[in-house]
Amino acid sequence: MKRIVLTFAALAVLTIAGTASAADSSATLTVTGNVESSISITVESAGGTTSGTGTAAATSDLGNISKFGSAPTGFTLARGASDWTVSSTIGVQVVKANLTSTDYSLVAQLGSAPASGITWKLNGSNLSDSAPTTLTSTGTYASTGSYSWDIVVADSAAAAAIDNSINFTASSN
Amino acid sequence: MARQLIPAFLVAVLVTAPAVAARRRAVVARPDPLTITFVAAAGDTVDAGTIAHDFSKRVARAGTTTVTRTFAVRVDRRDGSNAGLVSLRASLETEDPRCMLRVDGVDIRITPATIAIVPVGTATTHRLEITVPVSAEEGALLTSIRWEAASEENSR
Repeated sequence: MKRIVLTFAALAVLTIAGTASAADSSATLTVTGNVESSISITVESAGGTTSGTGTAAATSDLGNISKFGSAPTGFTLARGASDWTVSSTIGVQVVKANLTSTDYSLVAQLGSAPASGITWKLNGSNLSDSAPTTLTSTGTYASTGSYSWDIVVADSAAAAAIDNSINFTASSN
Repeated sequence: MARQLIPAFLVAVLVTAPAVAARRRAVVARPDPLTITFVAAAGDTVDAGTIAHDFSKRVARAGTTTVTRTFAVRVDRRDGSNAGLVSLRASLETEDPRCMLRVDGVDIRITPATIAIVPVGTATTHRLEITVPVSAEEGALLTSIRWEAASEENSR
């Protein structure tokens, strides 16, 4: 029994000596960068047969439309004395990253001049291809804003394609 | 029998104790015998460049932007005997609250974490991930990682 105790004592001395042999060192790696703010705009919804919603390049196909035909998918049709209007809404969302701004401004402009006798409206305001129309100056980030969308067709307008594009531009305030 | 062994043990302890103590003193006196060099980083600095959120990307951590850089570390022994293994540990030295750092998938925090066990004298490549939440303010980012290397016992 005593012999066992003595053996343990010798082992303990050797173990302490072994632990003391570790070597170490340290160094510092610096990490730099520049965080840049950004915003993103997406078309979330629109009348018509849509594709690309949820992205910044959506398309809406109204098909063939006429004063006495049926309304396109997602639109209503109202007939006036000398014109008729198809109406729907467009949902636009703006999100931000690394930005302290609390709201944004949104404008819209037609990509090309509308065909004769055709009027494009958003939020009740006529759109043109020459100047942007303000839709809001206090847009809320990460919330889909819904804007009324009307296409007014004069009875005198020629039967032809009315293709166009609406360009939205958001700016942080 | 035991009585005969006790004087022998005492003699052995008396003879070896000064040697062990001297050895211990010698180890303690050896100054910083390992060096750490960042091989692929310019001046011990990794520049993440411009970090701008990509809204079109689906990211693992929602609402964040992650930039990845690689760099290499080499640990050498000052005495030139580059043999054995060392344990590489990393911790946050200077914190930038706007970003989170990971090296080889290990979160870097104030408390040191083991990143890898690497051979001495060989450059090993590591992957640094810099993650910035979209809620973080824009501007220059500065943080630093403290690296420690320690010899693995019985590896020489």
